[in-house]
Amino acid sequence: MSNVFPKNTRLLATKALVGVILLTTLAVGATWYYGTPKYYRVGYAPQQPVVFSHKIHVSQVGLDCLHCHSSVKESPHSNIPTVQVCWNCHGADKGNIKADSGQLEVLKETYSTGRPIPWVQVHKVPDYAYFNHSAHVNRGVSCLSCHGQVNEMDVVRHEQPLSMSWCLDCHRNPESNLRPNSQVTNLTWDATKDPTLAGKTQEEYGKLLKAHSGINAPVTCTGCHR
Amino acid sequence: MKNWPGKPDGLPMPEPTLRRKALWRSMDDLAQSPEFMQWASAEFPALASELDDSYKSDGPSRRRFLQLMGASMALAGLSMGAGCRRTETRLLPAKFKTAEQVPGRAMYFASSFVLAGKVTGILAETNEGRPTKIEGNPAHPASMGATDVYAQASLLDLYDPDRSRFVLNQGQLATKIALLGMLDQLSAELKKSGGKGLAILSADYASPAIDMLREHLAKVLPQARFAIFEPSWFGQTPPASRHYDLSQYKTILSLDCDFLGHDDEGIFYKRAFGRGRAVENNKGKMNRLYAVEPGFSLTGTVADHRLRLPASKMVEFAGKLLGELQGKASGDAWISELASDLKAGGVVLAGARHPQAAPIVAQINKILGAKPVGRQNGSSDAPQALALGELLGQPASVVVLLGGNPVYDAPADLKVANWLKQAGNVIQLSSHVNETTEFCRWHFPAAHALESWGDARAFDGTLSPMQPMIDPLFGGLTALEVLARIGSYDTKDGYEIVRRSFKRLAGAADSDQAFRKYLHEGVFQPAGDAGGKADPNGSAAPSAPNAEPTKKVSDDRPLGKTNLELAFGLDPSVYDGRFANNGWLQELPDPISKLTWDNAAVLSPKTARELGVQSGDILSVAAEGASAEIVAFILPGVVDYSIQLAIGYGRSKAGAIGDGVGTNVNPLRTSKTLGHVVGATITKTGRKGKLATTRDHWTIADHHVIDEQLKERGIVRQGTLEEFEKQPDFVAHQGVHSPDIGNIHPNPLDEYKKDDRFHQWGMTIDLNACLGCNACTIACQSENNIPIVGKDEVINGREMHWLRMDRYFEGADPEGEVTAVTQPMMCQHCENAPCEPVCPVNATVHDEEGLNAMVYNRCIGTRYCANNCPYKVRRFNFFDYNKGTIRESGKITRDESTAPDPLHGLSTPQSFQPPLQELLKMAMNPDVTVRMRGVMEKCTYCVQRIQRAKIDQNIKAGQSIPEKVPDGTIQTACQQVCPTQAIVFGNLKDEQSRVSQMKTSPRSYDVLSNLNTRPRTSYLARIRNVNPKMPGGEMIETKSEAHTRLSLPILGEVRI
Repeated sequence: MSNVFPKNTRLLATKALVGVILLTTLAVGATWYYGTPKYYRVGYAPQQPVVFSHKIHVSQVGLDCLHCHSSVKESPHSNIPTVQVCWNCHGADKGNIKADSGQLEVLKETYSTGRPIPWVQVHKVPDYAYFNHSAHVNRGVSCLSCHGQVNEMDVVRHEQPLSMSWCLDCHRNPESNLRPNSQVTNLTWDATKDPTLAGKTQEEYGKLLKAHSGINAPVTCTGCHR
Repeated sequence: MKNWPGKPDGLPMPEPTLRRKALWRSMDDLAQSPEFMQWASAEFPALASELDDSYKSDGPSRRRFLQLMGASMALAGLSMGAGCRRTETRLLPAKFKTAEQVPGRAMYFASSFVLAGKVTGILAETNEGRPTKIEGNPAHPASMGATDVYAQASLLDLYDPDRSRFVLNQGQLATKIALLGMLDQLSAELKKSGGKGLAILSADYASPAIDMLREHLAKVLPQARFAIFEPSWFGQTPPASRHYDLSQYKTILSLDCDFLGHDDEGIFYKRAFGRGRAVENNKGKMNRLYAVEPGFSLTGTVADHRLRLPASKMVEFAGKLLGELQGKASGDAWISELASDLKAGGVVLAGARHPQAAPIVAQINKILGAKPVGRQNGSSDAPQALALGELLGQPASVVVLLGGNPVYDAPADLKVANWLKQAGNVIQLSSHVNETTEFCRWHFPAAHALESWGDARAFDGTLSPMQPMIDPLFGGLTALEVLARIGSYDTKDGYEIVRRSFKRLAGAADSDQAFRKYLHEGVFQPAGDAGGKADPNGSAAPSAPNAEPTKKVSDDRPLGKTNLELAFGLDPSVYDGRFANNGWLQELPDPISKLTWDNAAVLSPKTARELGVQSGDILSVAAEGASAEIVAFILPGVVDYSIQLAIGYGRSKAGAIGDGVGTNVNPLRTSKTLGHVVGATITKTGRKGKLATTRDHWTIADHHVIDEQLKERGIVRQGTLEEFEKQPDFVAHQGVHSPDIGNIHPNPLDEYKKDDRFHQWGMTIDLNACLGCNACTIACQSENNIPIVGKDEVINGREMHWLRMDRYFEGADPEGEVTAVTQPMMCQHCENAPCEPVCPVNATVHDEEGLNAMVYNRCIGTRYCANNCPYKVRRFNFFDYNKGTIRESGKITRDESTAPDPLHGLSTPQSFQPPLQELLKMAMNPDVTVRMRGVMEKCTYCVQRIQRAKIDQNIKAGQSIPEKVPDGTIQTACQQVCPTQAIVFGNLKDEQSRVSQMKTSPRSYDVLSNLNTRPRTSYLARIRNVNPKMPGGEMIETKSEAHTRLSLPILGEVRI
């Protein structure tokens, strides 16, 4: 009986197998890397309708986060300030700071028409996840833990993946993100330089705080999903 | 026998023989018919048959299915590549905000809900300026923190896409400016003529501000005529307003008065009745309820003794009872025993459907010494309004209609439409373009109660404000503003009018501060009550009994096959038709018949047998020269030869939801026969209609239990008061018992129970307090963003209510006397939840605090969990019910291609997709996920409320150890709305919590505890206060074989 298949087909099965394994690995690896928020969310820094620099307002002017994001201690949401708040300093009839800056045009228009400024949302969790700001900032979790060094950002950037596994990392070991409530909005806080902590590292102090405040971060579904 | 899907081969199937069963849901259940068995054996029987069909017909084959799957996968791949980043979303902050507004936190405003003159104080929850939930105002006497289905569902009316949006002038679009100009011109003309030819027909708003304007109107326009009409009066004048504090009476007789359902000041009565009904700590004082009624009402299900009596015999019955109390023997043992029981401290409530009985009942109550509470004048101090008939008696040149829909719901013989046609200028203020609109020259949208300034006065004189939560979505006006314009009142501003009305009633107590307090708290008790307290002796005749000449009430000809009685009643869902376009209410099952999306000719099994009628037959019902075609529905417990017809259906211009649903029976009612008519006949048309009843859905079936002994599973447990006092733990002897085998594997929950950091949540439901009023079902729907599915999907058994109200009949013979019992059933949060191990993706798991969580984003829709749930409380999203397709005109898409059968196919389109337009999105609770197609859902114990309370404790604690959530802080939606506080929720670890206390009651039991599911929700058995001396004991005593064999003390002592 003659050979139906030529000789070189002997290796075909092996080649195919290797190929399939490689492709599968590649697909899984690519999804793993590119398909998670760690890749596609971190670094997101969209252009905002108003060129608002957190760096200037926090690091130079010295505003506290709560000055504008005032509801963060009592509400699930951290509010975006109303135009009223901007106007208190920049308004012609108020502080009149930088009154001639062209960058305030949008603000002025908003103030006169009442049409809101369409800020682009940077940080977002899925609709079925109910993140609560007040539950965190009242218990010693700093803005920094999720939003990064906003005090140094000219344009707000997505700093952390905000994925579920990332949330759970902290919910399982909250001590690495705990600090005194008084320092929650202090984005330059350094535990080792805080005289009240007597040279403890943040981690050491976090452990004490965890026990002291009875931190019981939920790790089951109902904590965040309803 | 039909082979139904899901039947394992080789298993013997029970033959459909009539066997007696203790509790049954329908006559199909009692007879164990194949149709019922299908519901019992398969989770979604209709689905299975669909799959079957697909194989044999030209539906999608397996091959085609795979092709489609492949194609959609490819498309999915494409779209993945196209947009990995999320779409850009914008955040729009408000321009200003006040100090109280915290974005993300709900605000509550005190307001009022007025339904046909009945006032409920409410607290409206608003999220970012949009009302999302209605709660009762605990300070209001007619709410006490609870509400009813109508108040709850009125929220959906606010966002009804079919609400009138435009001013219409002779059917053409007009501007609001043109309208206001017309009103100003009209008022100037009227002022000159003294209001000659002006007729105003108003709905009953129970508003002192309107009363104030009416007084002004009487001065400015002395010749104007003003009438009020409400279909729920069952007459042309309001029924006598007399209220009794039911907690004070040991014996209560309801004379066709559904005070536990939708008659009268519902919550005031229900709460007081519940208090008098309590058995614990109330020794020897539990009240006893007698009900005499033609149909089967909620009051009838709760009653200890129920007498079926045709509506036409009600007055005669009242007369006999009065005679008996005055010492004249009636010769009827039931009545004489009732009379002697009433003498021991009783009260009689007469239904609105029997105005002629009201004076007799007033006399009876005087003899009994029952003293009414509240104000004699009810809510109104205004000059007496005309009756509708009086108004229509004279022609008018200008007619102003403030709300209402008289062309649809006024008595047929008054011919409202003709009268309107004769009047040249008809101006209508209405929330919808309705049946009356085509007879109006002007139509303009009315503002919803949540958009308007107003006020209202409850039966006891309590004043409550009506506040706008939101600007009128479609720029509507209120009745107040229209009256102010017509009467050239010096202010047209709703707020200012309400302020003046407050000043008028508050008198010396008036101040800006007092007014603000009134708005904040939602109640004000005017001192020196102008209307006067009710006559303490109860001696005055009831105010204004219906004066119109009465038809001879008791037809001498006995009722029979050819001399039927038609008894008309309000519908427990759509009321008088005003809620016809409210999807929540349309889909809410009737408490007894469990009908949705329909009314029906409800008749007793005996009547049906004699007439040869079956459920689903379309009947032509004729009376008084008119006739209507309506589908028959057989219901046990209805009096023979009387056909119960609910009004409020058959609307032709209600909107996309309500158009053509059911049959309009109003043409059968004349001004003399609004409540009932005798001498009706029915003929079968030979056609069949589709009815969507949920009575056999989600049945906790017992057909697979082979052992006869196990038939009674003790799902509903009940006993008599006598029995309970003799043996308080009688419930422990009911149901199936299995030895406590413990668990093979340790339950992780047991560890958490010992951990101090966690609460352990649990719930009790007191069946003795539960009235089956459905308020919990709607409250749950509103709180948890539960969609409606439409009639066809209900027929398929796919209704989505997380909390269903089960209703079981008792009695061996459906043609004889039956009683009924209701039981709310929702996820029991089993500690050993059978749903959890079968989920392949861990989408349903427990949390540390004992909640059986449903994780929507994990769910892949295998529906194994629903299959394995013994309580059948899981609901599956077969479609994207929350996403409707919307035609460009803004109307909901309906499938026009399906050929509807002339009567009932119309009710909902074949592929009904409730719309989720932008408008309806606003009704959603922002704290609860809106579920998509393909996921399972079920009761969560209102986890969003639990989390809110826990986080609030954390915020309060700051950096110290948070305290446990105090008992009573968390109220689940169903608990909060419950008029009798039958539902209690709380922390089981706290021994002092109310729920823990309730669980120690000897009446406490778990449903299906023999399955070792260890449910967190437990029930308290129902106690009936049976009068042992009452004749007709066979109605109460059970003769069921199953009972005797198991010696189950259901209803009365079982005497074998």
